[in-house]
Amino acid sequence: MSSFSIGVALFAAMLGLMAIRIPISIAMFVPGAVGYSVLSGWNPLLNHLKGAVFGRFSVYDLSVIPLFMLMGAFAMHGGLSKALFDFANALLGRFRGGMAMAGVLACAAFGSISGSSVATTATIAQVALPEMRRLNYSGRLSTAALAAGGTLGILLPPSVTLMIYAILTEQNISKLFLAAYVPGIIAALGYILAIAIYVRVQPQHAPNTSKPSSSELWHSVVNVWPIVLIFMSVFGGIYGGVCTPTEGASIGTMLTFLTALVRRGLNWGKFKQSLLSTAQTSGMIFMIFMGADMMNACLALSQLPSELATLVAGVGIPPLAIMAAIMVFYILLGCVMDELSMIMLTIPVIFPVVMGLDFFGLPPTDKALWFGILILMVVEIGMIFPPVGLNVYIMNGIAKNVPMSETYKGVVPFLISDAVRMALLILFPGITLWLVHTLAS
Amino acid sequence: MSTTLVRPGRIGTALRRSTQVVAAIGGVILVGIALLTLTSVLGRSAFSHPIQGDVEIVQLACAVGISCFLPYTQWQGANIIVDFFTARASQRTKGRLDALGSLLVGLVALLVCWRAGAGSVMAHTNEETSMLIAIPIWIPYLLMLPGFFLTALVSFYIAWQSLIGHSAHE
Repeated sequence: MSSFSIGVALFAAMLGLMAIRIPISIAMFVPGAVGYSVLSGWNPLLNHLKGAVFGRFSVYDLSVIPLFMLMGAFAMHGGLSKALFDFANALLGRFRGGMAMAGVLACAAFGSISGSSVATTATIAQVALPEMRRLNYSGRLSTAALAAGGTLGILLPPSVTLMIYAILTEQNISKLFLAAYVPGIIAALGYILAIAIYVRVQPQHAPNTSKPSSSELWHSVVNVWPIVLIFMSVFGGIYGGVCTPTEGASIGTMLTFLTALVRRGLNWGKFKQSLLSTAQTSGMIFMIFMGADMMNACLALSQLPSELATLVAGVGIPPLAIMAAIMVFYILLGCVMDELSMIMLTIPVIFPVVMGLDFFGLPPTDKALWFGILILMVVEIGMIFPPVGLNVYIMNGIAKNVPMSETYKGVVPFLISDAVRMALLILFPGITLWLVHTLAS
Repeated sequence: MSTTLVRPGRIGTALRRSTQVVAAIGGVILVGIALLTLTSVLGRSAFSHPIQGDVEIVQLACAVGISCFLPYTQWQGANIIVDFFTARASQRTKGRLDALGSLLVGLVALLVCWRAGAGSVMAHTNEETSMLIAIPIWIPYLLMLPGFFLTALVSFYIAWQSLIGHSAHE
């Protein structure tokens, strides 16, 4: 049996374990460890494991993941979401469907200091959903707008997906963050446009508008400035090259903590809750990291990734067709498995394939940034794509009287907007790379 | 995941409390990392005097902190599973598969705990230290062990509970 076929067999074993409810991290770890010992022996495996887990957990750049999680948790409890939504609604509320648009805008703003789409959806929905229902918005539109808007939590930096991608492919986190802004803003505008068209075609979903006064607008501006300040000091520092992402995340965590404290949004109980929710999510991510690492160490021994890369580069299919196929494959795979684990598992195999192909003559670093953003889009779409859109589940938990099928129907216009954006980003890498090139030079 | 919520017995309660305490310790380590880094940045920009070796401390503390998160994640049942293919299976089948899953998590956690222990011994013998401020590497290695060991205990408990038809998760 060749190394290559061992690699394929392991992959099959892993999928088999996943199918029978074995936690994904372990479904990767166990075949990885078995394969490692088959390919190089039991003692080399034991030696490898001595340092492997410590080595993975003690990477400086990895500390941004729990830090940004904690910052997001503080922001969630800090009463910042109401200020954001009031501001967004004061701006957009007078238009038809304006409150749904305001929900999207508030999600975008919250997403620019939070790295998680679940936290963004849950936080904004708690303030925006009751308001929308008060204006007799349909359950379909209101839940779908917030489920889709919540995905801006990972589209806009800081983004857990991008941090993981950066670490797996050894790319610069700050540059990846910069590359995500234009696509993220296009996403927000695309969602707002989708709402505008939807309520024009089917006005019954948003029968009323709110008419915020100018004093309400002024009042809300006063309330949002701390968020602007946090955003500026964290990302100004990171993009300006003044501090590392870990330093930016630390500053942001402490500033958000202080803001939440001053606004009396944070008490002892909520502080503990923030620590525990950070522990739970970070623990989940790092468990998958541990499993994916074991699997990848084994796959590297089997030389499956490099052989696959040579194979794909040699078949003579146009690179763009391969890229489109990769994206479709990811969206389908995302239907049955969690997007984050999917990325951690497949990037070490797919990344060399992509880097071995020629796309518009892009240099390697640009290609890596562009592909990272495409991956981010796939993960984002998976958050609202049936049958298991995580954000739709979250919304269903909050809006108990709206059936999930209604939300899935409402999500369709947003998915169309996602598909259009995805096509644009694949065909025009300049959209992604423009800001990085402008600011880096 | 929740099937029949039972009042956890004495072992369950003790395990739940310990995962919470250990996770909170991890959280405090994380807050410590943020404070240390913040102080270092302030020191660097105001007095051009950062904290010596801040990057190393963050790395080592991060490894310890994360290992403290794992038992709590496992207790909460937050380790992701794919339930697409077993959605129509009976509660009993699911319980048995979940028991197998937790058992495997426990075994892997034990294996990693054992090897990290061996890693600690190795680092101690070789007198490995961090680059700038010479922290002995065997110490953070050793501090990772409780997290993995508790993860193993919690997993075995959950495996047992799933087997007898109880859901230990909250």
